[in-house]
Amino acid sequence: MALTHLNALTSPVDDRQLRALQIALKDLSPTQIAWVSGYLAGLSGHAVPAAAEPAPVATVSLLYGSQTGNAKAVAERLGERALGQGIEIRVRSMGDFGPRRLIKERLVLFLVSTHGEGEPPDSAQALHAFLHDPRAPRLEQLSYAVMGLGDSSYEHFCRTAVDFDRRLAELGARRILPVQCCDLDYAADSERWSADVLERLAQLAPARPSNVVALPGARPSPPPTVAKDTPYPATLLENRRITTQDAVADVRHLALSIDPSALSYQPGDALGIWFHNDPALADAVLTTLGLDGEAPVRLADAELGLRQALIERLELTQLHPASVRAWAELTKARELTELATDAAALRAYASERQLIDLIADHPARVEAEALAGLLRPLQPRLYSIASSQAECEDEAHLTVAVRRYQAHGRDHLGGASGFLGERVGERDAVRVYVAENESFRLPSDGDTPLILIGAGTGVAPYRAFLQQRAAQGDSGRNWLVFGNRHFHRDFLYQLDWQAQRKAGRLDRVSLAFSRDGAGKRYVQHALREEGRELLRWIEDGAHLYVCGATAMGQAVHQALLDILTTEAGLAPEAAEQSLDALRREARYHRDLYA
Amino acid sequence: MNAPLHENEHIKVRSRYLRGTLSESLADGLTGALGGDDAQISKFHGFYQQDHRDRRQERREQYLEPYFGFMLRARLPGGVCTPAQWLAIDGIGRELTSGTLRLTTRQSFQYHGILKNNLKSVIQGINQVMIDSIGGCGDVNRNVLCNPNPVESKLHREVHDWARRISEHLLPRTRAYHELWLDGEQVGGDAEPIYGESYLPRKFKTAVAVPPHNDVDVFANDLGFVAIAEDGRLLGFNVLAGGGMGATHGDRSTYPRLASELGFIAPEHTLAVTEAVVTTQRDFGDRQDRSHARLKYTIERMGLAAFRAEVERRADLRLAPARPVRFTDQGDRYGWVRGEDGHWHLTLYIESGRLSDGPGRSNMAGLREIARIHQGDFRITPNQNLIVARVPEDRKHAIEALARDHGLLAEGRSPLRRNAIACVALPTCPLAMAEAERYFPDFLDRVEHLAAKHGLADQGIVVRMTGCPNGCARPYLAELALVGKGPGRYNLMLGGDGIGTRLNRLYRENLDETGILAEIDSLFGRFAESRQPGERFGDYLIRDGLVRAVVNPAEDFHD
Repeated sequence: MALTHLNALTSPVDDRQLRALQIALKDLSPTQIAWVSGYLAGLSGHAVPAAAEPAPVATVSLLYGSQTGNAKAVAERLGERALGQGIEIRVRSMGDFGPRRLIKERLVLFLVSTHGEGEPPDSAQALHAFLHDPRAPRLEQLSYAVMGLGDSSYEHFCRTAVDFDRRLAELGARRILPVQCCDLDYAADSERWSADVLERLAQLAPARPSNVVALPGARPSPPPTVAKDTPYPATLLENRRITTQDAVADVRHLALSIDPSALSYQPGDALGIWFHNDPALADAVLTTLGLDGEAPVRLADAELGLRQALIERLELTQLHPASVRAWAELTKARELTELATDAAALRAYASERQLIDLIADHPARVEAEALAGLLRPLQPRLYSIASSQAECEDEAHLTVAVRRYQAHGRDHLGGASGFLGERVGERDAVRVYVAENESFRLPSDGDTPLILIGAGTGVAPYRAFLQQRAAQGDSGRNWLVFGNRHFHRDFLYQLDWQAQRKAGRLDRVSLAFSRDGAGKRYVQHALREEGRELLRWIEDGAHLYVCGATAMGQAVHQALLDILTTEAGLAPEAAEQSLDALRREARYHRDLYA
Repeated sequence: MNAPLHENEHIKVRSRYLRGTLSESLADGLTGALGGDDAQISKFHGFYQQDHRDRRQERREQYLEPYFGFMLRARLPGGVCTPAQWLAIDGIGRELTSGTLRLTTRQSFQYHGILKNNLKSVIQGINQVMIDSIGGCGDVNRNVLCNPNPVESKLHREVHDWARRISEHLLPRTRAYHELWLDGEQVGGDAEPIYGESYLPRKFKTAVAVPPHNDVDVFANDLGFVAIAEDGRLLGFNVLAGGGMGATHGDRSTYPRLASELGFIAPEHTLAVTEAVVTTQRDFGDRQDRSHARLKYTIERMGLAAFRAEVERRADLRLAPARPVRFTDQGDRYGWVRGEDGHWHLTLYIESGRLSDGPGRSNMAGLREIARIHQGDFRITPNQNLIVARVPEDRKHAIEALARDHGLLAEGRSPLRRNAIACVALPTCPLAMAEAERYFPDFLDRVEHLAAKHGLADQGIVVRMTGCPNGCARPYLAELALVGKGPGRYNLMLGGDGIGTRLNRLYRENLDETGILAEIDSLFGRFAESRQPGERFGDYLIRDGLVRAVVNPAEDFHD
């Protein structure tokens, strides 16, 4: 709280007042300053006449663009700390921020994640597009800092953050800190960046006494006690297979017992699952490398045996390109060395393999410590929640496809899905936290019609949606568009949908079972067949939801464009704009995953 | 008679001549089942909604509905079809159903496990070879049985033609079947001159027998015609009415009944009498209680004389006294027989009527192979077997070789097994209380073992098994029958005469396998010891007083 750093540009007082204030406060001890701050706060609460128009306040804006809730969580924590330091800060989703307002802003922090092939999260789309428009306004009045969240195993790591950072500079804005790109294990980096930001803000923004009430609507919710790094131990109540034995996919319905006072979620949210790797896989790694499981390794915050580290702390099932590169240097194997020079090939190689494939196919001698060093810290996995707390307050349901496949001459099992599906016993604890998904929420108006498009386990959030709507007595129509392999084997939650229809809450159902007929029919085909009806629903104000694999999301997007061109007679560009408009109006929601 | 009409009566009337809401039900993708009343209406179109009962519980736990599949029964009067038709039947079965075929005790074939989405393709498929499934089930006349007499070729042709004409005369006239399945135009203006808009009170079964063979179990039918021939020429028919097998466990007001003789008619009166019997049942049958709705109860209620008078009035004729007839058997004559026209006929053995291919089984493929080279016709028998009929001398060898290769010959099977029949029961039949077809072969092994033990291996005792008391395998006409009561539990019925003219009677109730085999062991022992030359097992049981003959089932069946 360095008063000396106050300046008129970022505070409501003018230069003359500022100088007077500095003189008055110059010799006060910290205790005296604290007293004065309370005195001034009291004055501001009582003495200032309501009619008096306060001078324009230069508030710091913190804008987050979040898909899975991580960016939002970091933003809220940072906002809370800034407020705690007396910095007037307003934390908002980019989706709730009109892009043109940027012209009026003086100091803005951007926290944004990147998805898929370098795409911004839905809530950041409009702002991203605004900035990158060739006619974007100059922003010379603006100071900014950008932090990105991403996954470095993708080619366009933190691309959205980088885009924001570069473009803002091009538009004349002043960068107050270099862009910070955070990987999956973002905790340390985001913490460091937050500290740097706070320090810079303290220099730039007006500090106000910490007990001043924030502006209405600007107050972030208090930090939850349960968070990614402080997960909640949920108890597994039930693990049942909901596809038949002859189904290709082994899909489980998992019910977790939770304490609603510790963990609350909304339909559309995901549950982050901390998991342990398969001990058998850890042993296979140890055997392959001839390493001793007891060999001590030092991690960022602890020292433990290698085997334990492999099981509990390090990533084994999602191979990172950096690990492959590091391994290439160790083995000097030509195939790997060549791969290391081709980013795309390297990424493709890593995405198709687990660590065991790499080290078994390219053996090398490595020390325990070095092995630990080249592996990424184990990260939780997110699963859409398939239940509503309005229906069962103290449970969270997940729909998990256990990934089990043969590749590179050995059996593979998914990390978290194998953990949940096969290794966690009933009554065992699973460490979880809620990953909010603000861009995948039910509309506040219960009369709004919903079109719920999901393939495979992507149908999970819709079970939550319909439970929620039932509990609220919402009267809006609901249309489920679901696809999977076989009607008789993979119709996930068929009895639930039948019960919802019987109760009058499922007005329309369109199904696509790709392996039942001669030609493969997917949800996008089912949608195209009902183009006219889809347009009618959209005209009636329907919200569109798409959940499932990225490829499916793209196919559905294309189907929607086709429907707009063929059925509504729009030109291709107009169709794109029409979908963009739906997205900006938060009527087109997507939750897609690799 | 002031009780309310049974719900099914309203369903029939509401259905607008069997349309119901079938087209909506078919379009509903959320379920593999039919909605509302349609599961009742579908029966008139020949198919029955079933589900895989073994998997019900498991699927409920998977949040999946039962594994619904449909059983479709074709209309095939007298069981006759051509090789081309057979190849189509076989192909559709493999492509669009559970992959097996089931020959029935009503000389037809059934498909099982047809998914809702495939129903139309199946019906269109058989329609392409001129086969339909109208009235395969439902409250109308069912497939008409006819003795597949391969020897008296000319007489068979004549009698079979009457079976076909009866079947066609009693076909529902509604266009619903064509509209729904064959994309026929909606012409409207439906009328059912024989049935009316509520059809019959219950199913109606018709059979035509050619003595001395009673393979059709003519006495088990609502309406029976017994051909009276002289020198291979058809003189007319003895008309029988009021036979039926179905009964309800624990309900003494229900019982199986043998058809009563009404009298003799000349062939040209066949359709008039048929219509008179059907419309009398239409107007006098019980529409309040479906367990008393069959013609047998109508006749018991009206009295035989009054019923006969009503039929004569409606047919506008007088029935002559019935001609004497003698029956000698109710099973099939396996192997080759030569017809009077010089053609050969091969009766194949098909265990429980099931045709399938799989490990150690290829009888479905075998028939397919035979159909490819056969130029005569096929006749499904009322004992769930199949006759390769009208084979010229020079094809005999090739057909027999195929039949032998694929296990289709009866040779090497015991007389007991050759006469045995079982219904489908679990896992598909919704009515089954106990196993039948799946368990029957093992059960017969054990009975054969007991027969051998008592020196009775040469006895063709008629053994039948059904999974419930409704009687698809006509159990009450067997010398020894097991009628399913619950899982692994059966009622042991004894005392049929082996020619289908005497009902058996409940001997022991609710036995498990051990109990059943102990009883059979003991009875076989006594039979072996005390039988007279040529005496059948069922006859012995009556003569020895072990079982009292059923004389008038309405009064004494449950005694």
